[in-house]
Amino acid sequence: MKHSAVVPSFREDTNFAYLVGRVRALESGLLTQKILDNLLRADDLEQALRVIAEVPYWGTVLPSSVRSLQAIDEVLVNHYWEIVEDFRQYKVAFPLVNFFTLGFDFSFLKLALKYHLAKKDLEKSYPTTLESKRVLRFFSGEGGEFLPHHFEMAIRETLTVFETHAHNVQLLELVLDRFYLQEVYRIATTLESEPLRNWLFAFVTFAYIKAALRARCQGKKPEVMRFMYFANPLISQESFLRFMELPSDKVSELVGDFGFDFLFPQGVPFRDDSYYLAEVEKNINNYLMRFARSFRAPVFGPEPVFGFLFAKGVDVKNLRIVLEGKYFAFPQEELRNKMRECYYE
Amino acid sequence: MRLNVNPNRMELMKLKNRLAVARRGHKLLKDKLDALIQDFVRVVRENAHLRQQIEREVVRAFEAQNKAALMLSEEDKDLITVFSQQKLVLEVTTRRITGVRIPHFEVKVEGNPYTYSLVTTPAEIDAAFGSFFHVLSLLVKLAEAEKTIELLAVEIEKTRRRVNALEYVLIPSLEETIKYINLKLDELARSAIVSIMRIKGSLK
Amino acid sequence: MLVDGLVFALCGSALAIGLAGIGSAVGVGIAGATGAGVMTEDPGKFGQVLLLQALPGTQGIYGLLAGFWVLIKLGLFGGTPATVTVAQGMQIMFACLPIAIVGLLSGIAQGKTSAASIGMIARRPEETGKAIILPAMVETYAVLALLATILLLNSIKL
Repeated sequence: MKHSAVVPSFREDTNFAYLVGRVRALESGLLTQKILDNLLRADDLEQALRVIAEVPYWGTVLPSSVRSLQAIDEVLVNHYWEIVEDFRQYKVAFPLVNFFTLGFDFSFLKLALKYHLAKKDLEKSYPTTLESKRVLRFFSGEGGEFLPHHFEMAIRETLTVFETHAHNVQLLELVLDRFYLQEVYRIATTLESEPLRNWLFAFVTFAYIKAALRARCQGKKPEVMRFMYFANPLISQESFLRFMELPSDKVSELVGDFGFDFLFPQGVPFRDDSYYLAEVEKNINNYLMRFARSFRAPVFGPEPVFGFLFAKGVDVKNLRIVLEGKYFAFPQEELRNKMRECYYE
Repeated sequence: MRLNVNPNRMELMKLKNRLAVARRGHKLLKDKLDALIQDFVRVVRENAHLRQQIEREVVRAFEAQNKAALMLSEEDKDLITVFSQQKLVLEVTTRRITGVRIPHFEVKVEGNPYTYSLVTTPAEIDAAFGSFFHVLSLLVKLAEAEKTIELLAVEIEKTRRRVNALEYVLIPSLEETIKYINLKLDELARSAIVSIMRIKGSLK
Repeated sequence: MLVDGLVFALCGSALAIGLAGIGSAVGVGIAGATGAGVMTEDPGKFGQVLLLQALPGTQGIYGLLAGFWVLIKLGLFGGTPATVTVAQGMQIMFACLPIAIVGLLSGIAQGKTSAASIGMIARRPEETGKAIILPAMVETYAVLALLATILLLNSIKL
């Protein structure tokens, strides 16, 4: 997991030249720490919205006419989704953009599946590449309906596990998470760019470590967590399950064995506490961001595109934290503590 | 208020018995009232304590919820809340406090509350779920305490009314009637003596 | 006479024009693609983008210049064509190689630098001046190669 120098081959250069140009222009619209600081200084949501309306790019994305939290969230998510979907149209970028749409797709799939099992109608629509009608038809087992292979596999296995294990909703989530991570891993292996591959491997590894630590905290059993694991060389099943068996003072050692000491807040011993894990999550996110910052440097190749899309996602996350935080009147320092690092300092 | 009875010895005896019973009942009821009030005060104090605790916990739970909301999109919120596999089993038994039947709730929560993704949701949501989980059992306890207070209050009111009825109505009127019968009987005795004296005088 | 010196001389001219032209075309193409990307998001950048896109185009012009120089030297534009021996033809061909090879590679390199500079002005429009200097530095070597080719051609006696 090293930050290797990016040496793109000639072919990739020209393929990505157009997208990189777009990304460069779009990058000027990314949030910086300075803008976030200004937002943090706002007294309430209204003032924060006025601040964001004055920022050149975001002013058009999030006009001050948008008031309610739901509307803000919808605008932010759709904004991100539009960019991802737009980049997805370009064949060269398709595999790497796939990683970003995958998150949306699996969220939608879970939601649709849960609504289906709860025998409720899914009223709201959320961004996804899947057609909701087809997905629903597939659930009800109508013949002649096909979804992309990995989704079909995921749905089939999830439903089987759900039926055979006393309708345990936890397992539904765990199995779908497994398919999600497996698909991310598969995407990683198909990418030609080594830094991107490493980034995605880091993503999968951290996802497993995070899940294991949270499972500890929630008191989930190792035999349940087995459903989340797929065989991969990044993290072995033994060490994954060991996270749930160890006493809490041994956990940092195990994480240290992976070389991931930096995930834990400095000088604070590990404890099974959600807020401690929230810190760990922030550190994971920041590590991935610092890793992604090395993608800014290359002039060509897929890295800048990937870095930008990731950065955009983090921007949306940061904005949501600030705006919702202002709505709930959280103290400035607490919000600052929750913020993720920006792509450009 | 005098009872409408014939002033004779038979009635007097009866009334005296009733008075004795009434006095004894009054004393017993008064003791019961004291005991009830003592229990009532204790339960109220406990309840106030519990209420404070719950208020703190609820505030904490909502804070945790808000903190988690910072990190969640609307879709995530939908995903987390659409399906719950928790089952709440409420066992109701009764126990007695100074003769009052009080319900006792035993709450048991079955199933893991954390039925959402470990990968795509933030860890803050665990804290929120945990807090509400805790608040839930406290709320059931509070409901029990409130019901106890209500039942005790009803019982106290009933007992007090009985005590008052005995103390201010029945016992005074019995006493008055007894006094009246006594006076009446004395009067009869005196008039008998007078008439005897008169007969004696006319015989001379 | 099966192999005339003229064949080699014309081959050199063709190489100079062709390779340098390819270099420029690829370079302009790369810069153009990036420029189109930038203008998709920010059409106001047309002026700067066009300037930067045009920079890798010079290698093609240099190649053409060197090629024409050879043709003029050979007297193919009117007048009597000079007779060229095989040795002279090969001399001319090798004299053409600097601009051919350097034109090809520097055109592509300059195209990449231009694309990078276009990326730079997309983020920092105020630095346009500096952004143009960077690909212009690559130009130096194309100019040097052209100079070398012309000096070499001039030193060949027909």
